[in-house]
Amino acid sequence: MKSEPKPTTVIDSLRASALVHGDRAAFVGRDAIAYGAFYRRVRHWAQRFVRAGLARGERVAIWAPKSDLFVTAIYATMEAGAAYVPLDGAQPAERARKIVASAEPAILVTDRERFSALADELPASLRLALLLDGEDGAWPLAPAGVETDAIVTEAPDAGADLPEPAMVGPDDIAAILFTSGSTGMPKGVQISYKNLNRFIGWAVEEFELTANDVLTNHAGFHFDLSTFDLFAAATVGAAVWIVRENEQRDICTLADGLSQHGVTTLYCVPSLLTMLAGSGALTPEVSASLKRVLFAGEAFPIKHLRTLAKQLPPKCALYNLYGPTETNVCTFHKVRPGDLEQERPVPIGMPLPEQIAMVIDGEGRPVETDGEIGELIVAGDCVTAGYFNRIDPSNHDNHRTGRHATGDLVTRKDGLLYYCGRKDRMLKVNGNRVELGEIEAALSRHPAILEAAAIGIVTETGQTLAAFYSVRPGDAQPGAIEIKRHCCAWLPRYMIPHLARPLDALPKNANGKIDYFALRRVAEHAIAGPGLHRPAPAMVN
Amino acid sequence: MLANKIQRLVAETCAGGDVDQIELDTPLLELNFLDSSALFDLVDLLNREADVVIPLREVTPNNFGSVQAIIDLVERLQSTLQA
Repeated sequence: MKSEPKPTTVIDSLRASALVHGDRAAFVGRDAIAYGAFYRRVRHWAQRFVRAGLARGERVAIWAPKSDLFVTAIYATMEAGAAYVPLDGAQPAERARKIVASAEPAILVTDRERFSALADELPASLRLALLLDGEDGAWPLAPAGVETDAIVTEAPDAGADLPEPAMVGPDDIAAILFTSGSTGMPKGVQISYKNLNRFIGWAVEEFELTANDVLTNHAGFHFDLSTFDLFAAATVGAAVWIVRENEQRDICTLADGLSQHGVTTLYCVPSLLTMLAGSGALTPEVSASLKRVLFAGEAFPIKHLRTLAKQLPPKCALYNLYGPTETNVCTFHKVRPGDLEQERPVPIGMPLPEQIAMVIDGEGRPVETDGEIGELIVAGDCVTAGYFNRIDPSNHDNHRTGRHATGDLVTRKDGLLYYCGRKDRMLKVNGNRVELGEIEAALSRHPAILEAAAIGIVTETGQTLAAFYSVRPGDAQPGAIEIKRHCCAWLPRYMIPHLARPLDALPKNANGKIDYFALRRVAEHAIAGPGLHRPAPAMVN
Repeated sequence: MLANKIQRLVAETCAGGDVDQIELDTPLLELNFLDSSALFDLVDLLNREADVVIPLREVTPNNFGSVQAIIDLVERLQSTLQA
């Protein structure tokens, strides 16, 4: 099915939907607002941004809990021609501070509590902090040169005088999404309008989305999954239900929301779908309106996928979407009944139209034979222009030529790609991207820790993060709880090691480097008991 | 004793069997002893081992925030069952 020529940018899509679908719901539930009123509020905020001098190509950092106000800030940034930098509202202030410093935003949209946590170390680039929690109460202190203001949350009247929208092109940066970095410093993936349009344009056609659809936004806005929820909906004038942070793993609330809002389209990580299907909450009444369930972010254990498939209406399509933040979704696979009969995870499938998936061996030669394993290299206009303000040795040259080396090991069979694991120390825990190096950098900040190492152990239920550490001579040995409390100040919750164990010394190889293979054997002995965090030797990552 | 048993089950689930690591008031979710995917496995384990049926509506962060909270939940459910 061929559609009309696609709009160039996702902000154009919102503008079009405000005209064509002005009275239809942009958001449902407690955030309910129609497209027309929502876009007027977006323009109103953009006017405030522009009054603070926000120029095309600059950045607006947004650090707040999930809500329609967060989304207003996202679109207002694009409306003004700038790039939005969404921060996980739940992460510790230390990590948010690093990201804000690295993103060099002109404007920060946040609330008082979060602003106060950052106020001592704001970047010199910052001109305006907009506070989402109103005028009342004590006003936070801001350093010289930074204006603070409360944002007006009501949409202005239809007749209000608002500025002309900024024009942006396909190569302008729409967003910078920060992901875990191996040195302890999160890295910002620049997402252009061209990148977004490749994925969103394809998705709208492939899933045959219309204005009658209702999408769930489950992921945080710092997570690339959210770009589908927001921008695919805006492209067709569909409604979005924004799931709050405290509801993300609350099975009853999710089930209630699915039926109450008549959700047709659910996109989330497999671990959540496993929970939904395993809990018994996905009753025929709850799943009745679902037309498509999309998953991405980690391999979906086939046993749990089968359980889920049985609980969905017969006409509901299941899709595996694959891609690191650097490419967003670049391959896809529509799950076939035969896939569920196999004893391995479903394929990551085939590249999106006009995108190229290459598999190379350790010497950089193409892998031609089916069944042989190599690294997946992606090329095309889905690939990021690069990391913001940072040169990454493994991908700098690649990004300049429209390629990304994913670090994912794959194999090909009958024209389809299958995920086989990682070639480095990045892993996925419940769909969250975790660099073990970032955990080690946080552990090393503890004053009593001499050396630290983190590994991921595949278990029957997922992935367990285990930390091992040695203590400086003369220092008291910190216990697991103290280590976890320490990590709490530096890492988001999903990166805090599940287990922490002191060792007299970390195992080393002949070159004096930490021997991770030896550590894995230590882990297998150190983790006793029949508990759920035990390693599952039979499972292949 | 029920409290000891629950403390042991939680330690097996969340601390690699090390009972000393987890005290009654240790914040299990905040410190990532228990993540969301392990939560339902713990519920299964409690259902099997602690003579209780934990309904879905009771699987909330408040009820699983600490060993003490879990003990309170199980005791409450058991007494409702007996009543």
